[in-house]
Amino acid sequence: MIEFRDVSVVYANGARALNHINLAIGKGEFVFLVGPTGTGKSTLLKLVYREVLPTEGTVCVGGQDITRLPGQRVPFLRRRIGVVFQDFRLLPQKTVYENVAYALHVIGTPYREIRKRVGAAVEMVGLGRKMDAFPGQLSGGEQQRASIARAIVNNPPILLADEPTGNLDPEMSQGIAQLLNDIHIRGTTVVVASHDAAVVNALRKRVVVLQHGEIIRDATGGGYGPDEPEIP
Amino acid sequence: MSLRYLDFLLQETFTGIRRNLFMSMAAVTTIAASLLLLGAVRLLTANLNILAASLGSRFEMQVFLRTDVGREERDSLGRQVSGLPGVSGCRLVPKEEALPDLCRRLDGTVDLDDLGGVNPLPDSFIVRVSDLKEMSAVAARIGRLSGVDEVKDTHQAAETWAAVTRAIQMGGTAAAALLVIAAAVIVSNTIRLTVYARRLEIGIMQLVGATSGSIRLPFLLEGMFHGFTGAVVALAALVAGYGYLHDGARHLVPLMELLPPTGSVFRAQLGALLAVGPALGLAGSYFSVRRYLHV
Ligand SMILES: Nc1ncnc2c1ncn2[C@@H]1O[C@H](COP(=O)(O)OP(=O)(O)OP(=O)(O)O)[C@@H](O)[C@H]1O
Ligand SMILES: [Mg+2]
Repeated sequence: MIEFRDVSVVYANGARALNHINLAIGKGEFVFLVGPTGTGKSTLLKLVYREVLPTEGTVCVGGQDITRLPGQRVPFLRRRIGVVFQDFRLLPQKTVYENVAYALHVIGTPYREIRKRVGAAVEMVGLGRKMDAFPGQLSGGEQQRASIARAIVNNPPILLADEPTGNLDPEMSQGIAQLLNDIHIRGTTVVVASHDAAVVNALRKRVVVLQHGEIIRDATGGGYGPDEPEIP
Repeated sequence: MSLRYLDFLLQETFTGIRRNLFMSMAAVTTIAASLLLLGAVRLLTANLNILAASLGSRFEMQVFLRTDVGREERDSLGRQVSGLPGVSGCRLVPKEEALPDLCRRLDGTVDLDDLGGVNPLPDSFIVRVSDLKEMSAVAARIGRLSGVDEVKDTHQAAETWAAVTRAIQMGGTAAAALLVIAAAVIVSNTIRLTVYARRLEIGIMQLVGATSGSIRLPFLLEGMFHGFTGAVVALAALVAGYGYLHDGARHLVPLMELLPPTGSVFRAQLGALLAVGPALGLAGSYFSVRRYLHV
């Protein structure tokens, strides 16, 4: 589903974020990207939705080399990828319903279709009762649920999450982890960048550990944290 | 693009305008001011040209006869004038023709009945000379003929008038052009602020796969809306203001020929302003969208 072949990213200021990365993520897989801060987790995700182009190597998504994708095709790549961030990025003047619907409106989805899909997505994340609330009236966990609903409302085959629990307390974080797993179970390929050991350890998924822009460990059913061995 | 999508885009556009109400109003006001000046210059020039035409051609003078001159004397005077050296043409304008002609040019703004059925105009000749240098000599000679009341040697005035008209037209157009540029800059600034105020929306649109065209469109529509509103305001001010000035001028000089404040005159203005306004807004917003909206 997602494949990195010998990918390096060097930013304009000379910072080498990723160094010869080779990584394949299969269809329907759930993968955690972990590692200390500044090791290239966000950069790896940005390569997938083409926010960043590799300096070297190729990135394939759904069998398509997206490094060669012309600029005007990028929006159509992004319609097949949902993205969730630490800071939610909800529009404060819009309700939960409107925030989720927004993602469909701006790609020209017909109203009837929007009503159906937004309802389903909001139910899926457990915010059915808070449909008309504004982000400011929600807890952090609920806001993250709304942002996940927006990411999956177009039924993308891929969901990327960059530190989705970074702003949440541990209890809410577990809820979000469960939700991401529910979405994975429906068949979505999920990639989560996180250094939240509790979340990673709770799900026991494939864990890819990055350090200084390189993959130093890739273990299925693994954990993360001080009590885990560095090399399995 | 479906109609419903357009509806959504319009909603987004108006949200942008509402968020930036103060700047939007500044943009609309400048556009209105520049278009008002543009329209005013056009109307003024048109009126000056009409007045110039009524002053006569540079090669012609008007010879007014005394009102007590009879038909036969008139005709013999005409023959006399035609025979003078330097005169290349002499055309009679009988008072019976002069009055309806004047009324037609005034376009019904003067009621003939107000004159009590009396024709206040004299008979006159339009005398043409072949050489401008002989104008004054010919005028003097005609003036000495008996039965002639007044010779209006207008070529000097006509030339001055034409020069003044040109100066006003050029000066006014230059001032209007400067204002138009200022208006475009202000629209562009407004759109830049809107882009800034909506950067979160823009980021989300890019993330969920909105095309760059549909991300840009609301901003371009916003600029065009400013231009359109400015044009409507300018047009309303022009219609009201011109009607008022026209009536005032007519009150001061009752028989002065002016463009009447009627539909046909404003229709020409309407077309021009409604085209220039939105184009201006579009140009200003396009500049900012290209410059500040990186999609
Ligand atoms: N836009 C950018 N321009 C220049 N350097 C950048 C840019 N984005 C990231 N970097 C650098 O690239 C490296 C990797 O950054 P990245 O954000 O991918 O790390 P990360 O693993 O997501 O870190 P964190 O856990 O703090 O989110 C860092 O050294 C960072 O300073
Ligand atoms: Mg990061």
